Amino acid sequence: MKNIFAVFLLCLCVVAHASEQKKLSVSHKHAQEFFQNPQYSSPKIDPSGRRVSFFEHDKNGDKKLSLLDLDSNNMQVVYIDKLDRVKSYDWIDQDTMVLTVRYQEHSQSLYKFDFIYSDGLLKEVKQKLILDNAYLLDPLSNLQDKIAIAYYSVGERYPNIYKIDLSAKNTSSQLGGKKKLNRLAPDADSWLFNSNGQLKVMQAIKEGKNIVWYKEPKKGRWVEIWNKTKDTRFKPVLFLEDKNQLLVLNNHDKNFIELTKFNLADKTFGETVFKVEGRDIDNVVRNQQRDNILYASYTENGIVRQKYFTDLGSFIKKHLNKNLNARDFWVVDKSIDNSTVLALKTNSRQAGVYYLFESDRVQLSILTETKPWMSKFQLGKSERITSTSSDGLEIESFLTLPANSKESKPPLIVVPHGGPVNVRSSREFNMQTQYLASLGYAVLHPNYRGSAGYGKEFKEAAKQQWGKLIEDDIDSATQAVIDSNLVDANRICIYGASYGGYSALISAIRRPDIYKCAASYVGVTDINLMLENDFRSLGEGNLQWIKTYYGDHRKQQADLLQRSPVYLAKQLKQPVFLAHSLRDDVVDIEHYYRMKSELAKAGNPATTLFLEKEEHGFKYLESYEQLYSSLDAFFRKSLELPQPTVLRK
Amino acid sequence: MSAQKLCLVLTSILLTYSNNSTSSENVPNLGSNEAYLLLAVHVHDVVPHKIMLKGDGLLSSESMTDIVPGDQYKLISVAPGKYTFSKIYQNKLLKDAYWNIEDQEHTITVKPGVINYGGHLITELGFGDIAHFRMKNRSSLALEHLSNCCSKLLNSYKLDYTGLVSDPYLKFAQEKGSN
Repeated sequence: MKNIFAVFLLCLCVVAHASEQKKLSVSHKHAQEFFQNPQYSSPKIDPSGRRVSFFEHDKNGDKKLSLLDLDSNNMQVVYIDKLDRVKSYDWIDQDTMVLTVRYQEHSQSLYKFDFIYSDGLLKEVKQKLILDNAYLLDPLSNLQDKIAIAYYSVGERYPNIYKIDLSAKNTSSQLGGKKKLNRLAPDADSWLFNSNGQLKVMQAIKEGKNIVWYKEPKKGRWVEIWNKTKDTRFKPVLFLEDKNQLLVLNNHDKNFIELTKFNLADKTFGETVFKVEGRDIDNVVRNQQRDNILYASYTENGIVRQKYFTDLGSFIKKHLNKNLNARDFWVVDKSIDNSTVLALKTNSRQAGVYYLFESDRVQLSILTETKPWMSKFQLGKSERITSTSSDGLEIESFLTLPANSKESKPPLIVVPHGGPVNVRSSREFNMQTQYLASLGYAVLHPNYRGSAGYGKEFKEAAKQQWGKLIEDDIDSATQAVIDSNLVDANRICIYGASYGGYSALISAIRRPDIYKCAASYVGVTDINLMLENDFRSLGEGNLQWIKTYYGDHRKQQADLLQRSPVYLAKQLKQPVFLAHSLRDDVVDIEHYYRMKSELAKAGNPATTLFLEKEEHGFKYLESYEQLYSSLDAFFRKSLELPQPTVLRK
Repeated sequence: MSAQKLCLVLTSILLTYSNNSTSSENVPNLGSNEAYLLLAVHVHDVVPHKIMLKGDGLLSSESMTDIVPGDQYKLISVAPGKYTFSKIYQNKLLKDAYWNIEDQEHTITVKPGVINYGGHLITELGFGDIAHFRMKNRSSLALEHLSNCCSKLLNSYKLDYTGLVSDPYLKFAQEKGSN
């Protein structure tokens, strides 16, 4: 009888809870409004420069692939992707597109779309499956109707590489042993083609080693040209056939990553083509013809910059920079002859505006905004700050102040990034930062030692510094902000994800005088557990790198325990927020459960959030809503802040 | 106090009162060549029909059945030695079809005189032939489970993680007192 009554009461509780859910908090409603997919994404220009393609995301969740004809101004939807299966697409020629479609977690298929026009209007779209278990490697723009693909046979871990003729009736007959471009070649993860569509270079990162092979033209053999630890960057980006050289991004015998020539005959380095003082070159993009570099990118003062290697650079400067007076420009795509350029303008307060430049009309026009709803909010401006850590290392950080910071000093949320190595924060537009800023928080992103882009020595300075000098770096950045008198020094919390979650917890333990609360999402709470449990399946080479950077749980267990929040929970007196996701296969949920348990036993139970279907990060939009609105509630309670007010225009 | 909170308080009081049945837990003593083994499985997505364990101390394979999504446990007494999850049967209808995971070495070492826990076997079965299996050390969940179901057993025998590498957490947690 008691059980029946208990069940009845439980049902009443469910009903009461459901009705309460309807009354969402201000910050949750704001999160729903703020965190949305971009309205338009993945814009591209067809090779002729006369059509712009893009995805439009409508309110029903459908993704529409659309074409805008620049001559007629007609826009047509060519495909509606109701289940978000199209992962990428590429123009092959002005009438043909290839799409990569994902149906299951671990398989994808290639489709061809042929556009049939009549009197300038799109009349028909012919769709054809090219191949299952394949993806596009290179559109081979110099070869008509040919593409390079990676194809996975059943049960094989590494793909086979083929050149496929799209005009042929049958694709499967183009597969087979002798047609494999990587026949008799080592297994690889990436491939480089020359301007004639020939596979010339392969690269693999295996067991902590970076290995590169080159195909000798005369003998056709694959010859190893590089084999060193992955710590040394060596990435071929362009094949210079006439000189028998490669252009490579590398930091061999150097502190910073540069773009240099590499002689294939004797495996020696040649002249430096491009470098930036005190910064790594992050990336290089080739032109469509694969015979030159389009641009190299690097980060300066937290903003990504591009250095152009063709006359496109002066073209941009003359026509786009002149009109927009901005350096915060990305070239997203262009026609082969540069007559039409698609560029993205973005900064810390602007999610992004796409511009179209047509040289024949000398016309620069706004194509669309990526997140037009952002214009309703007052967003925070980001500035660069520097600090000196405990051992003298200079640390660069980025502080975003809310729009109302001049009226009163805002509370500060310090957000160390994940990693901790080879990841960085920037001053580029960040939805999560601006959500907090639009609720009146200042947000600090420190690029502590180990962060990407600052050279090899800066990265190596992070070796075995979990809970030590890394957190000294973060503290120095926080202190610099406190000393600037721009924030309320008595209202500072620290929040992060993954390594950032670990850093938040350990920082709060180390410096309760600074951090009044700590929040962790998918954070590491037990370093020994991470090394023993989460990284167990990695090969010996990777484990060696992990031991070097993170520690050896067999030899250093006592030391690692002393820097693991689980074992120090008694010392953590401030309010704690713990969030994790059930399907996290990078940092297992055991980290969350251990910390939750130890905090409860220590008499300081955490505020918790568990995301049932999420992984290590944010795969679902609703995860942002749940996490960030919960964080706001937690910060307000911990810092005794008033109810939230959204800063609107 | 809101109506919702009052509901929850009343319900939890009644459930606690109505389900209070901890008094009759018997703790059989282990023999000199016996140990407890806590088998733990977490199931994502498609639920397997049966999971088999084999080892030196078993006359025939031990199985876990009546499997549901999420965590489940089975406590058995066995002789010390090595035990391995060997087969996973997906479908009750195709009763002879299984994944052979013996060579994946999801192995638990069993030591005498303790409750041995070697990790949760995580199963992710999709439709068709998609399947992933891995062992994860979720000691705190195992400890919490035993604290809830078998507190007297825990008072008599410590829970010990006997996976492939050492983990001091259970010793730390049980020295401080269980949940």
